[in-house]
Amino acid sequence: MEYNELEIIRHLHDPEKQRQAFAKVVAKYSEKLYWQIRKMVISHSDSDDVLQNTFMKAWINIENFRGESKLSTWLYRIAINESITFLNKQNNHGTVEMDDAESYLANKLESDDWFDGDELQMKLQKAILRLPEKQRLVFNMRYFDEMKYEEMSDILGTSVGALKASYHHAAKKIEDFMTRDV
Amino acid sequence: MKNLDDIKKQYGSAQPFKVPENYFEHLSAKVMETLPEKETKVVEKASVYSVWSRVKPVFYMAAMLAVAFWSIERLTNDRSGSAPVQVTAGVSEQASDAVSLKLAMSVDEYSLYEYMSEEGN
Repeated sequence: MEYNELEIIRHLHDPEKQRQAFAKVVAKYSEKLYWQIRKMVISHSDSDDVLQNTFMKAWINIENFRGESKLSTWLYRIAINESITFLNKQNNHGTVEMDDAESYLANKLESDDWFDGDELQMKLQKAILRLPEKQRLVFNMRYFDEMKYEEMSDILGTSVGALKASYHHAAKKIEDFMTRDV
Repeated sequence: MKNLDDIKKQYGSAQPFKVPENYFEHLSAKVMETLPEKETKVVEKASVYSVWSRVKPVFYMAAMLAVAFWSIERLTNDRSGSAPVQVTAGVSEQASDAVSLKLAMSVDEYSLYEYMSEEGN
């Protein structure tokens, strides 16, 4: 069935059609959102939890979505916020030492049954994990998702110029890390 | 050493992560199952309630007044004898002394009629 965003948004504000319309939104965006989250939280089971939270939050607040941005932009924002909230909770609740969050995620990566890469890909992922959260987001969105800066700007609420600078610095840091243990 | 461009050329945009088999096939259904039902009739109920809430005080007042009037009427027409009421309306000045006495004693109207009919009055 064809996905018509304008019609979907209209139905999302109709109590009788709301649930059915939301099911179509879930079907369309769940996989993309999952990968966005996975790149941040690394673990599959954590990603699954964060994704559920993302859709729960979207469902609860669906009446507040006015169509001022694209539905995908709105959902991405919720997913990113939920991912960061999740990581902060792990940092703050004693699961991870504040200054050791990067090592925690790197260890999770190494022990993850659902990591499917080779040594070089593992090294790249560890290099990415060394970046601050927002810079990691920017790098992943640009490098892996090939997202346009304008779209990233809508999602992250950061100027295109700042995003370009952030990506450039991230790429430089990663390449420096990759050259260290040659 | 491979730079990012080289890595991109080698691996493309693919992420080195995998998911359990059929994870995405079941994902939508799993998500929808967890979402709570929304109360779709709240607005309708609120509009009915608000009309009733406005009418209610008037209704209750009218009901109270009706009960009050009915009670007063019942009390004035009470035939149980437990609450005798002085009857003066419609009594002739020429009523017998007995009647006058009974009136003075504030008997109920039914007993008075009974008395009068017994004495042939």
